[in-house]
Amino acid sequence: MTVEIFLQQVVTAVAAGLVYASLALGIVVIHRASGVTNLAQGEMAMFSTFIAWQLWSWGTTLVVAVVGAIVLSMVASMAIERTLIRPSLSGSPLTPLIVSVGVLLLLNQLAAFIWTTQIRSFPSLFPEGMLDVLGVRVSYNSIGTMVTVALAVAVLAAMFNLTRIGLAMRAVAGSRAEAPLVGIKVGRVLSLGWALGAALGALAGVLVAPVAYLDNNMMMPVLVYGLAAAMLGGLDSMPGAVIGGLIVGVAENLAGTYIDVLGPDLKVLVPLAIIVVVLLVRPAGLLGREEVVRV
Amino acid sequence: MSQNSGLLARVTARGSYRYVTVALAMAVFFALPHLIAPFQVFQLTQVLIYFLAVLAVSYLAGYSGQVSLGHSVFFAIGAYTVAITSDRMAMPVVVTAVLAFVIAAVIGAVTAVPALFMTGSYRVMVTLALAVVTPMILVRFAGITGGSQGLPVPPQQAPPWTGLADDQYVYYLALAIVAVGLFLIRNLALGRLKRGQIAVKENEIVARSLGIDSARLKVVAFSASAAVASLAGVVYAYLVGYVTPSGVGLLLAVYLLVGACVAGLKAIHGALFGAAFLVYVPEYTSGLDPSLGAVFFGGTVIAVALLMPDGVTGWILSRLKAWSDPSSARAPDPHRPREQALTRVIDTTSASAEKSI
Repeated sequence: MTVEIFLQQVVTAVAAGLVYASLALGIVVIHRASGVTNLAQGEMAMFSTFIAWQLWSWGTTLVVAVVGAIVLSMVASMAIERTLIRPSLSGSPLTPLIVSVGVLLLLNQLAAFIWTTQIRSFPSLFPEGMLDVLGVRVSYNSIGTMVTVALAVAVLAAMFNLTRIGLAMRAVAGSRAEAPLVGIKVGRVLSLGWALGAALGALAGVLVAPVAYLDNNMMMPVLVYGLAAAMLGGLDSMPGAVIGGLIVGVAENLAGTYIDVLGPDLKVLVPLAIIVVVLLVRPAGLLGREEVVRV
Repeated sequence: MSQNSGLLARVTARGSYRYVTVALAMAVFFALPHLIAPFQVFQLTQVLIYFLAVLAVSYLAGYSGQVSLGHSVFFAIGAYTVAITSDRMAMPVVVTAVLAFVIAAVIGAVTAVPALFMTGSYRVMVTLALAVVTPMILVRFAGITGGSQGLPVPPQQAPPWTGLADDQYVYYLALAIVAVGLFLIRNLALGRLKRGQIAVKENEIVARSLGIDSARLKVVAFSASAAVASLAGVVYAYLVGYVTPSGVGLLLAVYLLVGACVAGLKAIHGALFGAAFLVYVPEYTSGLDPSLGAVFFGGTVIAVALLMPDGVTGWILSRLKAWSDPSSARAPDPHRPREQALTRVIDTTSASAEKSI
C-alpha cells in the first residue's frame, strides 16, 4: 500500500514539476534571446490566466479562452519587450532586472485593480476523476497536464531544431554580437523569444490555476520554483529547464510528505538546498554553458 | 562658463567642503523633528531606516559588484532580534543593536561564501531564494517568532530628562544608529579596502593576479553590508512596534534593490534619494488614486530605471555637468553604437580565435 502512495506522490510531483518546467522554459527562452532574467515571468503568467478566465466568463469555451489568452499574451509580451526591455539592454546589466521588477509590481497591482484581490476558482481543462493504473490512482488533471506540457516541449524543440527561425534563435543565444554579421535580425529574435516566453508562462498559469486558485498573488510561489528549475538546469539550457522542473517538483512534493521537520511550510527549502549544492559543483547549472573568462 | 565650472568643482569637490556639508546635514537632521508634525517625524524616521538599508544594498552592488535581492533577511534579523529579546528581558537599545549586528555579520559572512562560487544571475537568484525562505522559516518556528501573527515590540519611551516626545526620541535613536552605520560604510568605501574592491569589481582576474584576496574582500563586504542592514531592521522594530513575517518578505528585498537603483550605486548621499523615493513616492501615488497607486509606483520604478540608469544622483550630476560645460553634452553620435558593436565583434572573434589556439 505504501508503495502505491509513494507512486501516487511521484505522479503528482511529476505533473507539478512539468508545470514548473513550463515556467522555467519561458524564463530560459527569454534569457537565451535577451540575456535578461525575467523576474516578471510569474506575474505575466498570472495576468494571462486572468485574461483566459475573463474570456471564459464572457462565455467562450475554455479551450478557446486559453488559446485566446496565449495569443494575447504573446502580443502583449512583444510590446513589453519592445517598449521597456530593449531600451534597457544597452546600459548596466542591472537595469533590465529592475525594469522586470517594475513590470512585476505593475502587473500584480493592475490585476488587483481590474479583477480585485478576490480568490476565484478556475476550471480545469481536463475532466474530473481518477484513472486506475495498476493500483495507482492518477487524476485526469495530472495526465492532461503532463501531456500538454510534453506537447509544448515537443513543439518548441521542433521549432528550435528544425526551422530557420529556430536556427537564428540558437545563433543569437550562442553569440549575440556575431549573429547580425550573418544577417540575423536580432530584434525579431528578441521579440519572438519574449512572445514564446509569455506563451509558456500562460500555459503554466492555466495549468496551475485549477489547483492553486486564481488571484493576483498565485504565481509568486510558482515563480520561485520556476526560477529554481531554470537555475538548476542552467539558465541557457532548454532540456535543463525540463529536467530542473522535474527535479524541483519531485523533491518538493516528496520532502513535504516524508520529512516531518519540514512539512508543507518549509518544503521549498529542499529544492533550494539542491540548487545551492549543484551550483557549488557546476556554477552554470546542470546543463548550462560555463562562461569563458578572459583577461 | 568658467564661473559655472568653478561652481561644479565646488559642488563635486570632496576635500575641503566635506566637513561643512556633513555639519550642515547633521544640523538639519537634528533640528527637523522640532519643526514638523508628528506624522512627518514618523515618515522621516522611515526615511532614515530605508536610507541605512538602501545604503547597505547599494554599497554592496556599487563597490563590491554583488547584487543582492535578499537583504530583507538581514533586516529581518535586526527586527526580530529586537522583538524576541524585548519579549523576554529588558535590554538597553545599544546591547540589542550590537547583538543584531553581530548575528547578521556572521550570517552574512556564511551566506557570502557559497555565493563566491557562482556568477552573475545565479548569485542574484540565490539571494532571492534567501528572501523567499525567510518568512517561511519565521512562520515555521512560531514558538519563538510568533508565527504569521508576528511579535509586538514594547514602545520606546523617551527618558524624562530629554524632554522629547516619544516619536522624537525614536527619531534621534534612528539618527544615532544611522550615523554609526553610515560611518562604517563610509570607511569601508574609502581607502585600501575600497581600491581593492573596485579592482575586484572591475576585473576580478587582474585584481587576483595583483595579489588582492578577492574572496576575502567579497565576504567582508557582504558581511558588513548585512550587519548594517540589520541595524535598519532594529530601528524599524522600535519605530513600528510590531514585526511580522510578511513585513520582511521578498517585497522588502525588492524595494531595497529598487531604492539602491534610484539612489545610484556609487553615491552615499544618493541613498537618501532612494530612501525618500521608497517612502514618499508610494504615498504620493496612492494619494493620486488609492486603488491605482501601486500601479503608478511600478510604472515609476520602470521609468526611473530607463530614464536615469545611473540613479537620481548620477542624473543630477550629468545635468549639472551639461549645464556648466555645454560642449561636453554634445548630441549623441549616430556612429557610436555601430562602433561599439564593431569593437565587440572584434573582441569576441579574437576571443574565439584564442580559444581555438
